[in-house]
Amino acid sequence: MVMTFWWVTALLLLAALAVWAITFWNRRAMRKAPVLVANSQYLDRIPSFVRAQRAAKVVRVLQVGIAVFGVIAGSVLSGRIATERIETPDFASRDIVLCLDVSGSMYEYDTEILSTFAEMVDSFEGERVALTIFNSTSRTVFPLTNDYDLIKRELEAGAEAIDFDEFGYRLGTRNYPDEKVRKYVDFVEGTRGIPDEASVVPDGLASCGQVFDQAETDRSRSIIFATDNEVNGEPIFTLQEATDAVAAREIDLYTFYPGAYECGPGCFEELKTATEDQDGELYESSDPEAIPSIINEIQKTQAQSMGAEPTVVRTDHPGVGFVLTFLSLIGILVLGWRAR
Amino acid sequence: MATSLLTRVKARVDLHTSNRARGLIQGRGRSLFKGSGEDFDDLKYYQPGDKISEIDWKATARSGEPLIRQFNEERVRHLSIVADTSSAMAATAADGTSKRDAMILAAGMVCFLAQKNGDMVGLVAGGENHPIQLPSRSSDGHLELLLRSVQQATTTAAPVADSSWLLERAFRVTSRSTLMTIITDEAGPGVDDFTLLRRLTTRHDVMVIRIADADPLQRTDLDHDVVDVNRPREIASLARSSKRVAHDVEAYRMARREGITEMLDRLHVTHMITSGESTVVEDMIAMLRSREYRHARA
Repeated sequence: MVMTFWWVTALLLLAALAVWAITFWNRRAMRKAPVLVANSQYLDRIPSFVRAQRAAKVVRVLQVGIAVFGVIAGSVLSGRIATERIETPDFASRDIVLCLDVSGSMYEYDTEILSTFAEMVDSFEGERVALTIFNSTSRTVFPLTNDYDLIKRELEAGAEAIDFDEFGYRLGTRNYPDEKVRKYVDFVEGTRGIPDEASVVPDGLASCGQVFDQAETDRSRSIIFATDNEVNGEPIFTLQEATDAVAAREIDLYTFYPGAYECGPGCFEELKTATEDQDGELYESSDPEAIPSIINEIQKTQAQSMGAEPTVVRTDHPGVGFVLTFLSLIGILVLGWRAR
Repeated sequence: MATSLLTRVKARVDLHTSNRARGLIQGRGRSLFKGSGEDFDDLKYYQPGDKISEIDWKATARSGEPLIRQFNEERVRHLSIVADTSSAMAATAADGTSKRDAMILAAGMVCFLAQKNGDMVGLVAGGENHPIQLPSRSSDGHLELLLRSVQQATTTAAPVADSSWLLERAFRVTSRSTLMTIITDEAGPGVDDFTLLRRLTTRHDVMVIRIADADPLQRTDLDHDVVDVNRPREIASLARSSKRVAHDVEAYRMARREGITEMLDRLHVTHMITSGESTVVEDMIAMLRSREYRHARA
């Protein structure tokens, strides 16, 4: 418990004391000449008078008491009583980039990953999250941010938009309302930059690695990389090069492999090797419950303190002082009105 | 003290009584106070030192020598004033003026009427430790001294009222039968003084002038404190503005007033209660008239 403006309290109390002293010394001068009466001794024998005098005395004592109390409470309130806490900010030192393959083979998993992640946003404390999607080219849906409202909104919107069976729609076996189609098209906009190619996984991973900013600060950086590694095109990087580049920037790689689609075990092996070569983790599961465990892993990698200085966090506690001041003010008003 | 008290009293009396009292004050054939007729004895030649007011102008005109009327010495009336000069009389009267001023005016009125009639006035006042007594004289200087003594004795520092001492004293020091005017306030003379008063009435013709006290609550004037001269204490606004207290106080004062009035009536003492300086002259004239009427009937 400290007082931020203890000198205000001291000044106010001194002022109150000064006002009292001035009125005390001048109490005779301020009074008008009294009316002299005689033969009023009988008043003491009149019960109602004695009662009224006693009541007046009680009211007077109460008035003085409440006034003193109010002045003290007001002064203390002005002094801003606060508690101090020394805090080292240990949050906001983790960056997570969600790196999603939005090729047609992944749509079911993407929906689940996004909605699971959206549910987990509430448990984040200062982590920054970005979402990048790729197919033949990649698009950053939102960059690293800790605006959780935005993150949650975007993730939910994305989960809804990506829930779209593109192959089925093209083949005519699935039908969707126009609104749904427009949402999907809007969401995957910019991920088909190269015609006739799809799922250029190494390039997508490499561009996810570019999302991280603040390269000079010491932060925990992670990519959650969801892909089935079924490349249809000519990547600029090989997967090995991409993971090397990611590792060179001290980015932890968490690869999420939902399961084979058309490609055989070769794709999986390539992904596994590339990931584990860089000390990354590979989760091979179609179970979206794998996501929370990935997040746990990320949160366990406590980022080293960024050399952040311990800050004094001051919390004001005006409640008690305010209530007491307010009550004594009401008391003064009520009693003043009653005594008149 | 540029003007003498007596002059000021005269001015007040003349102002108040310009018409109604003229008959009382003039007309030497009948006394204002008691009985009628003045005991005209003889005419004698004017000697230096005699009162000019006693010159009989008609007789002087007839004879060519200044003649003055000679009164029977024995029949010169003696008046006495018994003034309560306690601290209570320095307080405020019911009409807001000073009770002392009202008392001076009442005493001055007696002096004034006495002067008109050539009566002699004595004074008994003061307290046990500081008694004041003036013999019966009729000169203007004496009357002025009398009024001034009363005025100066009546201060807030004066002793507390002791009516039994005053009445006892009045009885002892005035052996001659007088027309005695007791000037006090609404609390005096107390009901305990019945015996003393009765003893006074056996020797004197007693009149009691009571000056009413100001209301100790002063409900309409809460800005000013109320202080009792003998019991300085604060009376809270709460008590002063309470209707119930006002009612009880009024009831008590009425009862006290009634008690004294009843006692004085039983003693067949002429008495009056007046609210202060503004009314004392009128009330005294009214009292004297009714008294005259009563004597005429008797």
